[in-house]
Amino acid sequence: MSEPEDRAELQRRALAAALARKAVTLSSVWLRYFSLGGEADELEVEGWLQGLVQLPAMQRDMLAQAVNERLDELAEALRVPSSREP
Amino acid sequence: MSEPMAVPSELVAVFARMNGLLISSETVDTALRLVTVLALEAVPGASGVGITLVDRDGTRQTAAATGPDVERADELQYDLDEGPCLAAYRSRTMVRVDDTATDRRWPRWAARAQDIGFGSALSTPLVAGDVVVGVIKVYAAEPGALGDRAAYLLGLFSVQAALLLANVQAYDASERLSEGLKDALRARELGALARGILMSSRGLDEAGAFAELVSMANQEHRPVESVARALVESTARRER
Repeated sequence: MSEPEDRAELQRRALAAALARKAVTLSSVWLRYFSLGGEADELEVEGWLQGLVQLPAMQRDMLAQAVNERLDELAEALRVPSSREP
Repeated sequence: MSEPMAVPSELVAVFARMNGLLISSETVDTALRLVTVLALEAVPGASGVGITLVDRDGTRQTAAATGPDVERADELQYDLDEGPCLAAYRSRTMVRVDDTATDRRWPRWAARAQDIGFGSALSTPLVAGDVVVGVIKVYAAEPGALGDRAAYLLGLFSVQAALLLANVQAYDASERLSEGLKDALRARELGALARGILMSSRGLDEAGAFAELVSMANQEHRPVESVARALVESTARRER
């Protein structure tokens, strides 16, 4: 497997893992991906997750950013404030 | 921002990003401002750029301008009901004023434009489909400053502005979109404009421009949308 394909596989597995843990939902990730400029529809993204279709690098990077932003938002919402925080 | 001046061939990147955007009326003001700012940078000799929109009942208003002097020169045309922009709108052709000191076609407007500090002007209609929706115009401080090159470039910008405006109508026709999808569309428009700006100002391809936005977002611990909005707004505000 060439290096770029390796990277694609890492991205695919990481997103699949986040979905499996129910950390994020596919539809919330897809909406964020769309707002970042993503061009694949939700079905194509699902197909990519299952290894049925390939996505170009920029589309995968947009998906990665979408997942990461959703995870950041969740983490922010779950944070326990310290007694010194306003 | 002190980005290198956008050269016309690179403006194509910005134009490509604007094309085909389903654009909301909230974003169109920003996008039209962006068109005027980019035109001001690209057109040699230009001192100011503005866009006049004419709505269905014939009301004229300046929708975007690079400075108050442009707004004043436009207002005078509306008030006096004469001038190159109105002529361009009515004749559907590009209209040039080579010297406001000697122009006899619109003497009242030309004299006042000279007082404002404009020596020449160039106006061209914005045609969306078969309807003229407005005019984009360039003013220059010097007489005779707006030649064939300026006319060519202004023609390019007029196509872009007209496309933007045509897309607003498409967006308004799909008003039943949910709030979530509207927010997503707005964010998508801003992202596309921001990538276009980075592509033209830093010579990046689209993937490189997106990577740059992600890197800026990570550095500032902000989402990409917020970085894109800041970049588009600061570019749209840029003046000489």
